[in-house]
Amino acid sequence: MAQILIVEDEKPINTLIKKNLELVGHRCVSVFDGESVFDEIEKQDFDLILLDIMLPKLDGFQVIREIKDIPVIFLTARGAVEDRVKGLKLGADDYIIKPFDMMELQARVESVLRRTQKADKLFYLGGVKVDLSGRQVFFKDELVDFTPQEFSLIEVLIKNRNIALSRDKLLEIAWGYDFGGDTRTVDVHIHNIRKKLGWENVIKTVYKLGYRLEVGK
Amino acid sequence: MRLKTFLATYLLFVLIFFTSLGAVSVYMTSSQLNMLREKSEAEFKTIAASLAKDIAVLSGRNLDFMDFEESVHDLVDGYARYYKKNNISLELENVSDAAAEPKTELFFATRGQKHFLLISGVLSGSFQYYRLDYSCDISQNISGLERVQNILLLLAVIFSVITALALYTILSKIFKPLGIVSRTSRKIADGQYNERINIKGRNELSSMAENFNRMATEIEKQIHLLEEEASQKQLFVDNFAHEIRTPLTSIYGYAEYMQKARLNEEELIESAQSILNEAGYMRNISDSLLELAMLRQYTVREQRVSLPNLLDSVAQSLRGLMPEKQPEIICVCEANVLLGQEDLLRSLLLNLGVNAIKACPSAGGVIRLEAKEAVGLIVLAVTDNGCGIPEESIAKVTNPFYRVDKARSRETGGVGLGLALCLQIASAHNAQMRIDSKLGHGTRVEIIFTTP
Repeated sequence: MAQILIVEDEKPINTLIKKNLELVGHRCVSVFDGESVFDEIEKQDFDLILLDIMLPKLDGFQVIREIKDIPVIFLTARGAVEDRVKGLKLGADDYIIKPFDMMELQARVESVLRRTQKADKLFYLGGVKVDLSGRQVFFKDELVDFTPQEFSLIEVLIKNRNIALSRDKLLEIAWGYDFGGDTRTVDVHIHNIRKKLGWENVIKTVYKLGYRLEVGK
Repeated sequence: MRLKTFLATYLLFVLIFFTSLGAVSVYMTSSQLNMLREKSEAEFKTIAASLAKDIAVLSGRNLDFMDFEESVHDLVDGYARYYKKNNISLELENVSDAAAEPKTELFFATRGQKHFLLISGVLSGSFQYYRLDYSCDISQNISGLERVQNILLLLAVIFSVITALALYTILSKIFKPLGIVSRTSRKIADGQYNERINIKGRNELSSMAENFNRMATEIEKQIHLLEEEASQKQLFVDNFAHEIRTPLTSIYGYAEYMQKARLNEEELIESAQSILNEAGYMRNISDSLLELAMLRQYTVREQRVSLPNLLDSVAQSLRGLMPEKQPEIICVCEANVLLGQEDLLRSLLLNLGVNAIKACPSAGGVIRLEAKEAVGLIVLAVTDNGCGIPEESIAKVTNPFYRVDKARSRETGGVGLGLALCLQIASAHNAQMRIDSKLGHGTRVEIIFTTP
C-alpha cells in the first residue's frame, strides 16, 4: 500500500486512475494543476507521483524540477521520443503513454515502488500470509507447500487484486510469453491454490473472462 | 560547348593566318627573285654590250686569229676579275661551229649548297658567234629569304599561342555566365530554392538571368506555399490525434474498469456516464470537423437576412445558455438587411456569443451584439467585457484545436473548433474576421462583409 499523488487535469482520467490504484490497495490524492502539487506534498508524504505533462499553470516538466526524493511517473499523450527522453532526463522513473490499460498502469506503478523499496513485502488476507520477498505462503502460521509456478500465479493475483485477469493474461504474466501451455493449465493451478488456502470464495471466477482475487477495499 | 567553340574558332584562325602568311612569303620570294633577275639581266646586257664594243675595237687591229682569241680571253678575264667581287662569274665561249641561237636564256640552278642565277646569250652585232655565260651566286639572297621565312614562321607560332591563350580567356569570360546558370539551376534542382543568378549588364545573358531568377522566385514561392500547407495539415493531424487521445483514454479505461473490477451500482452508472460524456465529446469533434470540411467547398445560398430579427433570435438563444452566469446582452442594430445564408450567420453569431459568455465573469458580464453599416459595408460585431485573449494567442485562436486555456475550455465542452468554424463561415460569405482583444478588459470580434 502506497500513498500516491495523481496530477492530471482531465477529471475523468484522474478519477479513473485513482479508482484503478485504489483497487489494489493504494491510497490516492488527486490534483488538477501543476501548482497544487506543492501544497499537497507539503501536507503529507507520498511514495509516488503520477504526473501529466500538459497541465494548467505549471507543466509537468516544470513541476518535476522542483520535486525531490519522490519517484515520478509521467503520464503523457505525447508519444514523441524527445518528450520521453526529456522526461526521463529530468529524473522521471518511468512514463505511461495515453491511452494506457489498467495492467500496464499497475505494472509500472508496482515496478517503481519495488525499485524504491516501497512495495508491499507481506500480504495478509484472513488466515493467509504471503511473504512476497521470501516467496512463502503461510496458512494460520503454518507453511503451505507451494510449487514455484503456483507462487508466481498467486503473486500476480495479489498484485492485481480486485482486477479480473483473463486466463491468457495470467498465462502471459505468470508463465511467460514462451509458455506453450493451454489455458486449462491456469484452471488447474487456480484449483490447487483455492484448495490449499480455502480460497474458493476469494478467487472468483469471472464470467467469460478469468479470475479475480477479491479483497475488501 | 566551350571547348568546341574554342577549337572551331582557333582552327579557323590558324588556317587563315597561316594561309595568308604563306601567300605573303611566296609573294615576297617571287618579287625578290624578280628583282634579282631584272638586275642580273640589266647587268648582263651592260657586260655583253661593252664586251661587244671592246671586241669590235680588237678586231679593228687586224690581229691574227690566235692573238685575237688570246686578247679576247684576256679581255674577258679582266671583266671576270672585276665582277668577281660581285659574286659574278663570266665566261665567253666561241660557238661559231655550233648552231648558236641568237636569244638570251635565263635560269636558276643549284649546285651543292649554292644557288646560282645563270644567263647565257650571244653577243650583239657581228660577234654573235661569241656566247657569254653569266652566272651570279645568289646563295646569300636565298638564305636571306629563308631566314626571313623562318622568322615569320616563328612569329606565327608565337602569335598562334598568344591567340590561343587570349581566345581561351575571352571564351571563358563569355561562357562564365552559362556556367553560373548551369550551376545555379543544378542547385535549384537539388532543392536549394533560394539560389539566384547574379549577372550584371545589359545583354541577352543578363535578361536571361533576370528571367531565370524570376522563375526561381516563383518556384520558391510555390514550394514555400506547398510546404506551409503541408505543415498546416501535419499540425492539424497532430492536434487531432492528440485531441481524440484524451477521450479515448477515458472511454478505454472506464470500459476496462467496468469489465475487470467489481463495481456497485453507483460506480457502474458513474463509469458508464463517463464513457457517454467522452463519446459525446468525440461526436462534437466529429460534427465540427464535418461542418468545417463542408464549408470549405461551400457556396452560400444568398437570402435577404433581416438583421434585427437575426440579432434578437441570437440574443434569445444566448440568454438561455448558462443561466448561472446571466450576462447582460445588448443588441444594437443600425443596419437592416444582409445578403447571406441565415442559418450559417446564426451559427457564426452564436459561436461568438458563446465564446463571449465563457469569457465573462460570473457576475457583471456585458455582451453587445452589433450590426452596423460603415462606408457602405455591413459589419457584425460581438463585444464582451470578459477576460480577453493574450496578445500572442490572438493570431492563433482560429487554428483548429487551439485553446488559450485548455482546462477551462474542456470543462465548458469546447472542442477548440468554434473560431475555426466562424472564420470558415465568414470566408464563405466573402467576409473578413477581425479580433481585437485586451487581456482583462474584453474582446471584440468584427465580421466585415466586403460584398453588401
